[in-house]
Formats: sequence, C-alpha cells, structure tokens
Amino acid sequence: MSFDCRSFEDVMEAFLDGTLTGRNAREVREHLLTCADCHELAEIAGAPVEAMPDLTAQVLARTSGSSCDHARNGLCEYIDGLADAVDAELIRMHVAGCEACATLSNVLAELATDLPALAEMNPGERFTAEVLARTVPRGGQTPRWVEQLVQGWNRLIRRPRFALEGAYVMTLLMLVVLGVPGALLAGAPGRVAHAATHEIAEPVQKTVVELKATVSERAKQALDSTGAKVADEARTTADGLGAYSSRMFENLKTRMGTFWSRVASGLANDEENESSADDDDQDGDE
Amino acid sequence: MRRFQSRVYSVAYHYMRDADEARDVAQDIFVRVYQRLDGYDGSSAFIAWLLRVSRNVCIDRLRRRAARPPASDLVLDGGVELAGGGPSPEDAAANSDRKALLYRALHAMSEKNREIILLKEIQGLKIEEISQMLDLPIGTVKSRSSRARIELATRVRALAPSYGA
Repeated sequence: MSFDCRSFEDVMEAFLDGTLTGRNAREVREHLLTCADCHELAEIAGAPVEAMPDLTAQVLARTSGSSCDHARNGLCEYIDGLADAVDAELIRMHVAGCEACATLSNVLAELATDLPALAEMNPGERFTAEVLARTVPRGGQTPRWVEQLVQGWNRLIRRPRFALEGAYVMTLLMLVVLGVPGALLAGAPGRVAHAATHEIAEPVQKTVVELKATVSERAKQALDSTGAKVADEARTTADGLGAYSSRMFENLKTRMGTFWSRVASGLANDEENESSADDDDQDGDE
Repeated sequence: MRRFQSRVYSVAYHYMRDADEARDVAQDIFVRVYQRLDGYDGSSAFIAWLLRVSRNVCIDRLRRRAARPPASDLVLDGGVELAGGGPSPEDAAANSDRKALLYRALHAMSEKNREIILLKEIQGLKIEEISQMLDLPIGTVKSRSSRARIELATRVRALAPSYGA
C-alpha cells in the first residue's frame, strides 16, 4: 500500500515526537518532499523537515527512468480524472518532464474520445428482417417441443465429436438389440442368413440353371438355322459366279478371235501391196 | 432490436473479426435474446445483460470454430482476417482513417486485453458489470483495463506516430 496523506496523519504524532524510525520515518520524509500540504502542516507543527527547493526536480528524481512504469500504472486513472490528488499531482509533474509518458498520455486521452465511436456498427438494412424471419413463427405454428427438438438436434450435430459418439451409441445399441441372449432380436442374424439361403439363394440358383439350358438350346437352334441359310447363300453365289465367269470367258474368247482375224487379214493385204509395187518398179526400168 | 442491433453487431465483429460471420452471430444473439428474454430479471442494466448474452454466443461460436476451422479461415498480414462477400466494417469506415487505425490496433491485441477494451472503453460497461460478466475481482478488472489501454495506446502509436501528437 502506498504512503499517502492519510498515512502521514496516522504517524504524524510519532514523527513529531521523534519516535518514528526506520522505514516509516523514511516514508514520511519522502512524502513531505512531494506533498506541499503535509509539508506545510509539518512545518507549522515544528517538525524538522527539509525544505522543498525544487519540487519538480524531486518528483522527477523519483518517477523518471524506470519509474515511468510506476507512473504509467496510474496514467489511465489520471486521464479519467479518477486519481486521488497526490497521485494526480505526481503524474502531472512526471508527464511534464517525461516526453515518452507525455506522448502516451496524449494518445490515451484521444483514445478515450475515439473508442466510444466504435460501439455501434451498421449491420445492413436487411438485418432486422432476417432476424424477424428467424424469430417469427412461420404459418404452420410449429409446436414448441418440435422447435426445441430441432434446436437440440442442431446443437448435438454441431458438436465436434458427434460422429464418434454416434458410432459408439449405435454400436452399443446393436449389441443390446442383437447380442444379448433373450433380446427381442437375438438370433436374428442367423434367421436372416437361413432365410436368405433357403428362400432366396436356392430358387434363384434353380431358375438360373433352367434359364441356362433354355438359352443354350435356343442358341443351338438359331446357329443351325443360320448355318444352313449361309450355306445356301454361298452355293447360290458360287453358281452365279461360275456362270458369270463362263460368260465372260466366252465373250473374251470371241473378241480375241475377232481381233486376231482382223490382224491376220491386215497383214495379208500389206504383202499383196508390196508385191504389186515391186512389179511396177521392174516395168519402169525396162 | 433496432435500438441495439448496431451495438450487438459491433460486439460480434470485435469477437469474430469477420463481417459475414459477425452478422450471422448477431442474428443468433437476437434469436437467443428472444428465446431467453424471460431470463432477464431486471437486476442489472438491460444493455449489460444483452452484452453478456452477446459475449456468450460469440464465445460459443469461437469454440466451435476452433474445433472445426473452416477452409476459408485465412489470415492476412497484421492479423486481419479475410472477410466474406459483404463490405467489411473497415471498408465501411473508410471515410474514417482513425476508425480503421483503431480496428487494426485492436485486432493486434491479445484476446483478454481486447475484450476489456471492448466492454469498458467501447461499450462503456462499468467495472462492476465487467467484473460480474467475466467473473473476475474488481481489482483485477481495473488493473487489466489499465494494462489494456496502455497496450492499445502503444500499438496505435506504433501504427500512426502522429496520433496524439
């Protein structure tokens, strides 16, 4: 607890009697160097107190340097006007001689006026309508217990461990319903497996075998029928090709014969023309 | 609701630091208030009760967000989070550089100190109301408030050396 004017008044009598010693006496002397009122009171009472030649220097000697922290502890109350008179005077004097604390004091004073301006922000024109849409009951007048159930469920599923807890609960539920002897559904998996084997798998297997035989027979018939048709078509095509090729051969043969006969007749005419020309030359010579 | 929606939205924004999420949380706050209005016994100021509900809703949302961080929860330089589609309050307050400066300084502060500044200096709650809301001794609230103001002043000064000159 700091030593203030009230503390001085409590020990003033002992201080005047000279019976105050040690730390208490030192605190009184230091207080009298910083508090003009108490200093004056002590002087009137005749106490041997030191003069206060330069109070500012004395205060700075106590509060400058590392004492800035001490001054800053009370700076906010000083700015707000809530500091008691002694502290306020100490801080005022310290601030007057300390540039860093003076700047801080100015910033704090401006913040005190600027910060309340951040108290309100416009959330947008549609904000009120959106909130009303969430709070006004919709046409159907949903019962309150339904709303509570939905809200509870929404809260539940938003929990981070919901998936893990859900799996745990479902496992327990399955164990209780299926795994405990005498339970309502005990043996249900076996019954289900038996039913699946005898009432589903076997009829399906029988049907599949019958279907397989039928399909095989039909496929064989279709294949035979298709083979015969293909053979007939092939024979017809081969016959057609044979007749066509015979006609083509005869036609070619006829044309070749005609060609050769023309070539032969042409050669014979040329020989006759050459022989008649030789005879004419011999007649001319003669 | 119209009377208090700006203050509630401001509180939500200071906690959530995202304009869209703050709007969503502010709606949640009013829905909660609507559902629990019977819980207000009139022993304290309505604004203090409203801010207490607001704080609880915001902290619930922050806890859920911490448990399931959204993929879009990016953080830009200076700790200012990327806002969604709508204009952020910083943008809306672009005409006021001082407001933008204060938002930046506030967002750079520690959670505890920022909360004290929000409740006491911005929303104007009394020390006793904050003490009750945060379940802290009055002396602790006072000392924390003093430290928070000094921290804010230091940060503001670092961001804008001309502030307070």
